[in-house]
Amino acid sequence: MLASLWRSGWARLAAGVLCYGVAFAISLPRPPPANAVRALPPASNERRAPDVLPASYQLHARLDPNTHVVFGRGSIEWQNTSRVEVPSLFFHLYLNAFKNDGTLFLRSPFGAGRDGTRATQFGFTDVKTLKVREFGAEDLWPRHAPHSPNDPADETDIELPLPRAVKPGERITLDVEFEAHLPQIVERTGFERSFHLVAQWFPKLARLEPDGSFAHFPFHAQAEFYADFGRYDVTLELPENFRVGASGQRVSDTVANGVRRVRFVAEPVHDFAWTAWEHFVERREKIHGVDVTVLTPPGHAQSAAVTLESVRASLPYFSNHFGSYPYSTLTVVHPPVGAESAGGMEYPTLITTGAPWYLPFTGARGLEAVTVHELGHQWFYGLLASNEARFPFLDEGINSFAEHAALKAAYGAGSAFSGFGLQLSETALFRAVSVARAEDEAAAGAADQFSTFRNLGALVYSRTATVLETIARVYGRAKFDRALRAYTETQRFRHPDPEAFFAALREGLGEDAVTVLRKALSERGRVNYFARELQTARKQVPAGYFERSSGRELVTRSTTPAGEHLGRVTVYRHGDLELPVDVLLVAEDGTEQRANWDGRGAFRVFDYVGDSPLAFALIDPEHKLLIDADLSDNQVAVRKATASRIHERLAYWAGLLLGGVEP
Amino acid sequence: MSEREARSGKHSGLWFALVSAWLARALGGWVIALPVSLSVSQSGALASPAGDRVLFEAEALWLAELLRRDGANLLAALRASAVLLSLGLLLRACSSLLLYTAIAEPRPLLEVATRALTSVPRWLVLGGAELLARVLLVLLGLLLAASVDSLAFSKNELWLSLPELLVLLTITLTSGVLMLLADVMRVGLVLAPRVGLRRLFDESLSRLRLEFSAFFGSFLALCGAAALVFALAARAVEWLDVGQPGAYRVAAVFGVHQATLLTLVGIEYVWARWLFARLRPDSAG
Repeated sequence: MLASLWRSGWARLAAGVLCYGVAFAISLPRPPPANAVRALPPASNERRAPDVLPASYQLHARLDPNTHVVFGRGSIEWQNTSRVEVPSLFFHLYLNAFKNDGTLFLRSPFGAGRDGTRATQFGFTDVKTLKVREFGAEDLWPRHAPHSPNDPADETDIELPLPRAVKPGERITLDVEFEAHLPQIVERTGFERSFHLVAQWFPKLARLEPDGSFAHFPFHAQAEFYADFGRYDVTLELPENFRVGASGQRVSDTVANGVRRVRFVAEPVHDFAWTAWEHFVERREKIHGVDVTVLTPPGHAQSAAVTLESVRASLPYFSNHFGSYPYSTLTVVHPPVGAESAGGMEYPTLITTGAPWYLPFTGARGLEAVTVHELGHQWFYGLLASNEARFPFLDEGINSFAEHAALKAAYGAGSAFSGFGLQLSETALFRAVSVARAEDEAAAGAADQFSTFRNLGALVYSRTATVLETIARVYGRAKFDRALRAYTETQRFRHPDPEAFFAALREGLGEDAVTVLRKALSERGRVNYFARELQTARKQVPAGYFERSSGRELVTRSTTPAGEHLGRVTVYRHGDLELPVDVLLVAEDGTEQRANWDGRGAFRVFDYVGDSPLAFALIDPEHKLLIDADLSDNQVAVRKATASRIHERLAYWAGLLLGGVEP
Repeated sequence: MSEREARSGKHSGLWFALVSAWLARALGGWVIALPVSLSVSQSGALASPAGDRVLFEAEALWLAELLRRDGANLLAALRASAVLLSLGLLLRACSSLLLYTAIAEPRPLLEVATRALTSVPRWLVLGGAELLARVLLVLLGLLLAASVDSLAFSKNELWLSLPELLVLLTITLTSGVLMLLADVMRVGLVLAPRVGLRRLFDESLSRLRLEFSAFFGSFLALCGAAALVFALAARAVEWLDVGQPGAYRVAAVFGVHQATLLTLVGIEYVWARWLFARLRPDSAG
């Protein structure tokens, strides 16, 4: 029976498919273990909300999905929280960055934004009217400056002089009507066919600093945002077949006459973004007490599963390490094909991620990395609302460090790639990316001052994360975790600057660590430890003429009877960073001796005495100094080894290739 | 084969062909890998008694550093490997021809080799045509993938997105049919070396049409088996973890890899033998 079944071609075909299925199942990457998160003690004095909510928005927005225009109206309640009178307001009209090729955002002849995309359909914000209730019925918008300060071609940073100054502590209410004409997605916002990611879409007040100055800036392609905390109460109106995701909690969702009206309330946050598309597939899950919604294009079930898995692993991690997630919802959006530039962005309680559908099957953890990174921004941007334009390392840099830590807790050493007997961590990857550009510019610079976005990426993201990981490894992981926790606790719902960060680390780790940190991030500090001149010899009895009490004695050259061996290696330090370093001395018989150098001075000689000849010296055997500029000179040996493992692996792959490609 | 036959040396050609098919992969791979591994040997990463074990350590810090620091050298070495690969492909094609000839008619080694020699030019033309067709197919697939419009497709929740799935299936199936057809023609070429390519093509095609499910089913079963062997080997190598100390790990991984190559040769042999049995003029058809 079985034999006759096997003779059938279809049975063989089924067997083949089964084999493929099993092979595929064996090859799938494994999910993280359930107990991946190491818990820190819960925070004792966690802040629940900001002291004040200076800028709150109540908006009504109707989306026309055919013209891609959002018709908005509503009110903004604003308070002068500074110590001085404020004679004018500053609005960020971010969509004007996509108005024409002359804007600060798009004017580069080499393509705009982070990936060099050019705008194909332009967008802008058109403010129709703006009135201040306390100042009467006059439409104040005609008073606005025609362009950004000192930049006639840009309209993203607009000053509005007021009829009278607003006194310290005074609260005013602005009534506003506007149209947001969405661009085809260049970056982070806009539309792609009927998919809409609506971000930076309303006239947004710049943050008022305590000294009475507005932190206003034109929208630069390399920069991000900065705003005051507030309450956002937004009602969206769109065709009934559209699925929608947004910042905050959905408090009502009704359909009448073919129109869906959805109201979201987000508090306390400093921005509000939303997305709408009729093809979204929705998956929900309660994770760590938070209602998580994942919106994906059709056919991305595996991506949705991986996204949820990433949130499951990292939400508890971030909550444990950086304070609890204070909101009840989180929405994760996968933009569809064609709208990839909208992926990988953070807004309060709404993040966008994304990866090609096949990525989760390859062993590469790109989708996990983007999801965890954007989720981390709920802390380093969301709760610790630093000025992203001026100090991008405070959000992107620290968050990249947090991302690595969370991914490592979840996926171990293979946090970037795991497969074929190779485990590549994000830490190794980011180190390699950052070390090549470490001396180009300071990582702690302002976003628009970086020469290129590639440099910003290598320095703000990778270099900062690598420096912080080095500090954690050198000065103690537990101490570092506590210091960072103290920073996130004290600065929660605030707008920290670099000094607040350095102060928290000084408190937890000491002055030496902060000196290294400052130099490495703000002054292009670098370090390269390297070993040279490994010498080894048998210990000899000193030879020659010696004056003894019995007279002059000639001692001939000979080795000690015990066969003791001496060795010496010199370790040098190039660069201006002084970090303590371990040195491992290994003898031919495998015995090890360990020494330490505090890193001060230009070099240090390490002497060895042992029963076997010194064979090898290795600087930093535990890989603590990730910022070391060159790892290949960290070791010196008497004999070189062979590349047997590499050769064996490559020979096998080449053998497979020969079998698969040959005619 | 019977013991008597084996003793008579009638199958010496087949044994040699099988061993050479394995050696072509193993030794060919060894030579192709040489430029890259030599380049790695020159790097500072290997100045350690641990050798290139550090490159496979957890986190792969040294591997990332090697790629960063010696990327240009490695790229040059890869180019040299690519040249060797093209020579390896010729070697592999010859060993494959030897295997097919030995299966077609079990004879002593010298006779098999002499007979195979007469088919070399046609064999290479056929192989070149197949390779070209495969490249065109991949290009076509890329073109299709670029033009599919996933936004316009249905809302069905599938594992993969529907258009991409269709493109993938189309490429896989077409590629499978192409490989099957080429293999059938190879058998024809060995069975009747003097038959014109056109006639060979027509005959093979009509035979395939008649028994498509049998041919394609067997082909897919053996390809599936190969995929399974490959996946199992990958998991075994992961488990053996050459990033840990212990020379036995390297030896074990070498064993796993060679066993995999041998198994793949075995699968190729089973497939070719089945094809010959099916396509001989005196077979049941």
